[in-house]
Amino acid sequence: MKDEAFYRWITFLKKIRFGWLAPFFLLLKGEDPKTQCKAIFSGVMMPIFSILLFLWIWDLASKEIVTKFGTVPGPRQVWSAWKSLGNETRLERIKALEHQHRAREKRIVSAKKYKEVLNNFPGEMPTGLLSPGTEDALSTSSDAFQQANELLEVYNKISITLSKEEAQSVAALFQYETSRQYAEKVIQQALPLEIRHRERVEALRMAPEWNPSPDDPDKVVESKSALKKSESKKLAREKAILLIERQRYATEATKAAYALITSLPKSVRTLLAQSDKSASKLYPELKAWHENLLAEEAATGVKYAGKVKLKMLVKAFEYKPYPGKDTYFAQIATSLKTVFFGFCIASLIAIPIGIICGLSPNMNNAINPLIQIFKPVSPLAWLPIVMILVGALYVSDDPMFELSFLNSAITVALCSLWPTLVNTSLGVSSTDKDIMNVAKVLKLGWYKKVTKVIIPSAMPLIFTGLRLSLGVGWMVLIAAEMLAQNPGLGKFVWDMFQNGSSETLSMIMVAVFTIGIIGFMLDTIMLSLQELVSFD
Amino acid sequence: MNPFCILSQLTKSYPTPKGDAVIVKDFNLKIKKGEFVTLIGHSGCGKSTVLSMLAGLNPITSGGIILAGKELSGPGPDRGVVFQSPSLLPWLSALDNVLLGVNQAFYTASRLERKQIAEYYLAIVGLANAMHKKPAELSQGMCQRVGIARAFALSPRMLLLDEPFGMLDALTRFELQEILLRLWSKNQITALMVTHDVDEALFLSDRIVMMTNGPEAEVGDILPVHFERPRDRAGILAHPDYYDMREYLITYLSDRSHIKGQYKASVENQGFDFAALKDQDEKCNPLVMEGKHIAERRNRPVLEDTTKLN
Repeated sequence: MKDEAFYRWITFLKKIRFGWLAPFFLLLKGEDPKTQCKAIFSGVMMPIFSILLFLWIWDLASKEIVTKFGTVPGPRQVWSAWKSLGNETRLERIKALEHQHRAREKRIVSAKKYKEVLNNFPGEMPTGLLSPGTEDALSTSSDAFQQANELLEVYNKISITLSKEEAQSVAALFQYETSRQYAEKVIQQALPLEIRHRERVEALRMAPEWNPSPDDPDKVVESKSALKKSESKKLAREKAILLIERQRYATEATKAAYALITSLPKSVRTLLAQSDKSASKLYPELKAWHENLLAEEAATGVKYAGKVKLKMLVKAFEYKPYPGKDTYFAQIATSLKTVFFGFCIASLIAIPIGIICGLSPNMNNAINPLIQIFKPVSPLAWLPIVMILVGALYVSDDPMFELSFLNSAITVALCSLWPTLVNTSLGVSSTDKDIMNVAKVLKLGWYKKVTKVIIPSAMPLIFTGLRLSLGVGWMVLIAAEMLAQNPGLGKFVWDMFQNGSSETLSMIMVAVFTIGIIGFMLDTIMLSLQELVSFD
Repeated sequence: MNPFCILSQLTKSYPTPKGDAVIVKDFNLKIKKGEFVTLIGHSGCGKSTVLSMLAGLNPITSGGIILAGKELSGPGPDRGVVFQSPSLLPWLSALDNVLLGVNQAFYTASRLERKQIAEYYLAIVGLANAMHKKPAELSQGMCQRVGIARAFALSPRMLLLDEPFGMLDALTRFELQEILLRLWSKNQITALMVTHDVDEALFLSDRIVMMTNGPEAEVGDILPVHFERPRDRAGILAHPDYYDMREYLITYLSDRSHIKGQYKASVENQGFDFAALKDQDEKCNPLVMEGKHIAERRNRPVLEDTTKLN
């Protein structure tokens, strides 16, 4: 029985394109090693080999092509760009936490400061301005933030320092042990590279003039330019290596800083969370109190001193979200949200219409021309129409969705509903004749026939349609986001293209790989769902 | 006794640009209650068409079918059909497949009762341990057992079997034939089976109806099978008439069925008159007498007989 489940699992793996994992499981199970090794060779080694070959050719070719953004990035540069996106995300997170930290600080400081003043005001003062222990917790977290910031500063200083001595003096400036340790590590690892690089540049510059043989002047010219070319190539390579190394240290620095901030003791974290919670509860009370006071003042004409302080206290308690920019991962999340929303709209429209078309040949004939005409329309043509229509119809003071989000999602829906519609209709209309005969013989009613026989039998094709739809939707999304300026991956690509820095190309390539890998994952998920509903 | 099921002047034709293509023409057959009749003939001769008209799956062009005193119109759970392919709903377990029919036929029964009916028939066909498996997890033979259980669980007036064992290997076929026979004799349901397996026909039926080749297929000959019931395979194989009957059927299939219409003429020459015999209740079909004919034919070479008919 257990064996049966195991082999069903293996078949399932094969069906969702993870069949290459199967030989490993089978080996563990004790199947014939020779066969499994052969399967591993063809299923795992060959793809790895082809990927390596691709990376190697890419690496070679990238150095030869020069664009206005510099040489085309090779796999290593793209990898480091990916890392730098990770760093950026971590830095943003650190900044967001810091924002929160500053808000707390401000709140607690002003609560302490104005406590006495507040007692002079009429009415009852809200309790719980300061919960016990909050101050200590805050100072612990302040320490962590300070250390983290210093770590990051070390990294920043070192990464722009050129001499070893300078770097060491920077490190010496920092009194915290963690940051000093970190600085020393960076110096040890980064500086030899920096120095090596500088030395090599010098060496190249000072290289003795090429000594040509006098009998072949053509060759002399050729070799000279060849030398120059190789020189600049070498330089570019050195630079790239240095950049990548720096990226690594930056990664370590941000990771360490992030860890410092997030690894506060649990007691501290709970205290801070409690304080945040009570603050968000207190804010409306304080605000009402303040407004009452103002109203009273206006009515009675009695002026209260220290009113300004109360106002500042109220302000300190107000919650303000971190106004930072979207990180790469937030953009991925936005894209996924958009495509999922669009896909849901598409499915909700396509499946019922598909079922109706499949059941009635007349309906099918009626709707078919519309399908055929709208199916090949590009998202770029839909988008302006969608933008205008959504802009006209979706008017709200407090919109639940951003317009750009709706525009992209609806464009995705318009382009991706066709495969589901066509496949659902096909699935419903091509219900196995024998099964239909069974339904006839049993004299099932219309509703029972549709729900118990036709729709279940169309399920595999409906899911095939959904899978195709999601694939189309994901592909269309990038174009839609680019034009609609929805803050997702499409906008990321567009922004990178617009800012035109030396990292532009590698960033776009990172986006390309991200899009590809997420597309593959979505497809695998849908394939698994499809397998679950299929009955062969 | 009145015939339980009467197929009268049954005709099926499809319109084509060159005029109607007549598949079955003036097919007459009367079946007694509790009788097991087999239709045998070449593939494409229209035996399945007759069966599917009886099942109500194929509209009747002209003529009519009377079952238990009522003319049939359309399909219904009063006729249980076993198809050539098991035709199970692949997303339902064996039990749910049977229940689908039981729920239709016994909609007044309680949920528990219906489940018990389904379980009972599945147990009889030997699937007590595989009730909750999906068709994909069952072998073809097991699937067909579910198909048989589904048909019997309806407690139908009539059982229609359309080459039910055609897709199975010989051993499974034997096994299922015996199961079918056991179930049939227990329930005494009137049954009409289509097959082209001569041994199967001989083992199961009371009468074997041979059809002429299409187009315009009709009843060519009828062979009563007088083996005693309950039957067992060994006993039938050892029966002195068995090989004669078998030979008769095979000869018919290999030779005579090609001579369309002629044989009927020869039957008429022997004094059989369809119209006159229609009302004779005792003899559901005039050709019942063919049994005697066989007895006479014993020891006579087949070829000679054929030439004589020509």
